[in-house]
Amino acid sequence: MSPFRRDDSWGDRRDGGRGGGNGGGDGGGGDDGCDDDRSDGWSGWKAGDGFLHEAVLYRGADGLVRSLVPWIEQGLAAGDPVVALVTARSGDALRSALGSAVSRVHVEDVGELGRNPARIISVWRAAVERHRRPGQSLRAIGEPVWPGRSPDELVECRHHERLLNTAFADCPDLWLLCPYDVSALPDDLVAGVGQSHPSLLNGPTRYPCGDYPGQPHPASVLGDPLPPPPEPLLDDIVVDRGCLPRLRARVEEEALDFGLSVRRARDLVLAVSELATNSILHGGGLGRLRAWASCGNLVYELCDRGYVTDPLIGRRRPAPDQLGGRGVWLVNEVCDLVQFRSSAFGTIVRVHMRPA
Amino acid sequence: MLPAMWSTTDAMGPPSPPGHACWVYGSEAERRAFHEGALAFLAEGRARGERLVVVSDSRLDVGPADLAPLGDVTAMTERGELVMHDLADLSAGGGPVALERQVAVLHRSADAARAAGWSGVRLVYEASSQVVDPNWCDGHLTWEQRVGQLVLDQPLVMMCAYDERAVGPEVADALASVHPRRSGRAATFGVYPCVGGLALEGEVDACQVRLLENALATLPPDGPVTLDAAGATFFDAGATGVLARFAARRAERGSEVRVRSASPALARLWELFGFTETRAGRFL
Repeated sequence: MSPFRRDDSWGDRRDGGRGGGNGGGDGGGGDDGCDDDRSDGWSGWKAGDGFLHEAVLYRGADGLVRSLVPWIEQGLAAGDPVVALVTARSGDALRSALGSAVSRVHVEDVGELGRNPARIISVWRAAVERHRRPGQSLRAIGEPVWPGRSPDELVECRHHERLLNTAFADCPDLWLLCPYDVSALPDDLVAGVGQSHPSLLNGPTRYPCGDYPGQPHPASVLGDPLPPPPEPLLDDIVVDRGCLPRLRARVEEEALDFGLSVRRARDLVLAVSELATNSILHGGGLGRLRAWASCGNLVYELCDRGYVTDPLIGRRRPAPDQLGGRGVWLVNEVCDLVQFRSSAFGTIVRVHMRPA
Repeated sequence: MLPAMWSTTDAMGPPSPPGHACWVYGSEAERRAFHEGALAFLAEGRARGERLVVVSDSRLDVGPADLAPLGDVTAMTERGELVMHDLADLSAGGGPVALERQVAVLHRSADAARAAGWSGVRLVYEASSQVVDPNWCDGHLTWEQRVGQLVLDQPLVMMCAYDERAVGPEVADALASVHPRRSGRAATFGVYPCVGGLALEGEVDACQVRLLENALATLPPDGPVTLDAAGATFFDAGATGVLARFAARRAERGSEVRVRSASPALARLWELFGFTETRAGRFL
């Protein structure tokens, strides 16, 4: 069955899953006769049972409050820390609905931090480390997708949602809900949410997502396809050891021409230089650089013959005394959007900067 | 006038003294360019009333005829305005550099020139034979850093030249990186003594971090280091890691590393990595 039945009154089914017994198993006894595999989503899971990554579909701020506030309150009552990384609008709605309980919930704006979704996993990782207590779970709300995201960003949000399953597979006490506002997001986007979430939570009822392909092999996650590149804005250039100073000068000039501020142009130069250096040192000694404009952004793409098998490359905050391996993390920090893909056929990285 | 390539560092960052330059050549055409550059360098010194000293390997066979464009070489030599040395006079004809002895010779040379009424010493030094064995490179780098300090304290201006074919491209780059002025295609950055500290300028990316490590490793092991990094126009993650590690190691030995006037590029990296005083020395 499809977990996305648009005729439901989303977020309004708190009475839905009475019949459910244990988490993850068949709930049975549904109230409309066709929810054979739904289960009681709120009481069936406890810390240590395994990472839960669930989508929540809601309609508008009221729907968000109806869907999430009872879940938050239940967590607080159990002593679980609750962290929300959501849009400003969702954050406001949650804060006002939570009343005095808001002081016990950490609500953060996802807007600037999550513009590049590749920065989000390290935030969750830090939250897990900070809040980890024996026998307790961390309840987290992550809203990486909001109306107005560009098509390029949405491709990356979906990739991020898929990576979450790999990133926290080792984290049995994290319960992460990803709210999607179905009243404002495109239908085709909502229809794909089940491919990156093992289950959907509707009120207290859990529905397994039939189209979730299962946990991918870690080395294959970075093989997610990218949209084909448009016509390049400028000539391709071959990247090798001797070209880096010239390459940096060229990128800086192009970035300023495109309308980036001096500071952001410098950040883009840093990002392209890091990636070019990776191509030279780890990607077979050569790379190819292309540039184009997409969704109003200036985009650089580096291609090389390297094969990166770590699906979380650049998504972990480097340790203070770490010697290498900071480059891609840095690229994720400074760019508005980063698309990192790799397979046995090579590595492609695209960095996007908006003109500001 | 010096060729344009010598102005590489003046446009950026700290007011570095022009006193210590490096010219790397790797072909006959480049060697001729070096000769022209060296002549211009010496002519500039002559105009300033400096004593000109040319130290070269005998295999280069620099003779009075080569210096003729400067003027009447014989008369200049008789006046003590021009002194020519074979490298063997300063070292035992190759081998690991006799560091203290050479520094003392340079020191005395500057004193003697001033005593004789010259405004200073201008030296062209072809030192390839000092580093034909790569194992001598570290000692020679240390010597170059000492010279870098000497030119700050003494009326001494010096151009070092290296034949890349003799010393190899890596050693040539390493040597160039400790000079405030470098010929165009040599190292893209410099680490060398400046007034009140150590200048760090130019571009360092992961392809050059080994050079940076080398250059930092040849500094005197003790005492505080004040880095003037205003001219560090580009620094990437790898280079920042090297600098942080350098600072951390010195801190362990009680030798503080301070960074003063960091360039925006370096300050940005420092901020992104969240480096703190305890982890990476003090950042001003």
